[in-house]
Amino acid sequence: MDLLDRYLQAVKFLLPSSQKEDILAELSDDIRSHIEEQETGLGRKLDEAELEAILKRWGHPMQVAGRYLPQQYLIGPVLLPLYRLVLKMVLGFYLIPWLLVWFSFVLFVPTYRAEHPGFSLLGTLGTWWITAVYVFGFVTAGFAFAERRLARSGFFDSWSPRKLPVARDPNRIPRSESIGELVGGMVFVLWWVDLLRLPSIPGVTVTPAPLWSSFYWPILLVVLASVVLAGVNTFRPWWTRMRSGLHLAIDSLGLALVCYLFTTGPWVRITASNLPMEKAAELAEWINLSVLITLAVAAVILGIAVFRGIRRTLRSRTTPRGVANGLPHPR
Amino acid sequence: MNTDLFESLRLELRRGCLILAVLAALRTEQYGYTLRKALADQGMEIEEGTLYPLLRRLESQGLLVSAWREEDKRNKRFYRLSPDGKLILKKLVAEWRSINSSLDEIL
Repeated sequence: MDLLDRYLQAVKFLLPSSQKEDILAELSDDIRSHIEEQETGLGRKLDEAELEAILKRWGHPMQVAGRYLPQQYLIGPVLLPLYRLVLKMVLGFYLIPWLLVWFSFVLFVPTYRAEHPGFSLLGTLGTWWITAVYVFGFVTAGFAFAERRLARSGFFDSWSPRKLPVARDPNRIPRSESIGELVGGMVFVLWWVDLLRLPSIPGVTVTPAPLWSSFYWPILLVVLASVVLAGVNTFRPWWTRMRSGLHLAIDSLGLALVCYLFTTGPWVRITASNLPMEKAAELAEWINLSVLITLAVAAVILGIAVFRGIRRTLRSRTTPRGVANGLPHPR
Repeated sequence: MNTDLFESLRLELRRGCLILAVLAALRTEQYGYTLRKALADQGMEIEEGTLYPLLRRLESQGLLVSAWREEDKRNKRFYRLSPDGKLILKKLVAEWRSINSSLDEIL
């Protein structure tokens, strides 16, 4: 009976302490009764393999003990979808962009690689890991707390359909988004054509690298196209296949431009008559770093826009023309 | 046909019926092993891992009472319906018959 004793000991370890002995006595009696019945049938003692087969039929000690425990969970089925959504958002909007920026530094900033040679480069990801663990911990703890509070607060009984968010129409273009694109694009165009000047540091001249002149018109045209489309979208705030396709094309072009520009640093040169050479070089490095970060952020934003555009285009193929959420749209 | 799906639906269907079967079988006092055999003999197979936690749950809900007693030189825990259990069983049987007759009509 060595196997049986080992089995019972393993189950006992995991049982709730208040019922440990009681459950174990009953379980032991049941298994012994079963063994005796089988032995009577066979007319001999069971061998180890037969005993093992019986115990395996009863189940793993953790499963057996688990059946006696009350059902417990940290985050229940009601809040779990929201919890997963929040974690996905943290991943998509914070942790992955962070990683992309880090990769950009590793790939395109030689000084960054020089400052962190070999494995110390991986060490620069330490903050990322710690942030990821903290965020995961805080979100989980927050939801676990909400799970306990909501169950007791009567939240699920006192709800009203009137308090639910307004139904979201995936074909609707938020005006705020279009106006934001319009204003942002216009400011950029004015700056690009030199009608708007940014404040400058006295004695310091920032000269764009020669590569910008070859990209002057492509960048201007892409941003202008985006401004025109944002203008149309402001007054006709719903997606049509044509405008959705145009938006996707403009975003894709923008992303391609930004990705190419990424590989072509340094982007500006500095002439500073009133600064020592070393300080001027440091300033140039910082400004180029700012351009790199700006390009990285732009690449992430455009990447997300392209992803959303592709999803919108695919969705429009499977949705009847002019229909979203079962409601027809004016054209 | 998806056999896993069928198996999961079958178990779901049986789960509620098992409670009724266990309560009904415990109109007469029995211990776990004989109860399981009695149910199996009548076509209501129930796994050991399901039966014992179920008996404890029904007891903690006040539907069963239990007592340890020696039989065949071994201590066994005998279960039987409590007075509350008898009332609940009566109501559950009425409910079961109503569901059964509705289902018969539908099917």
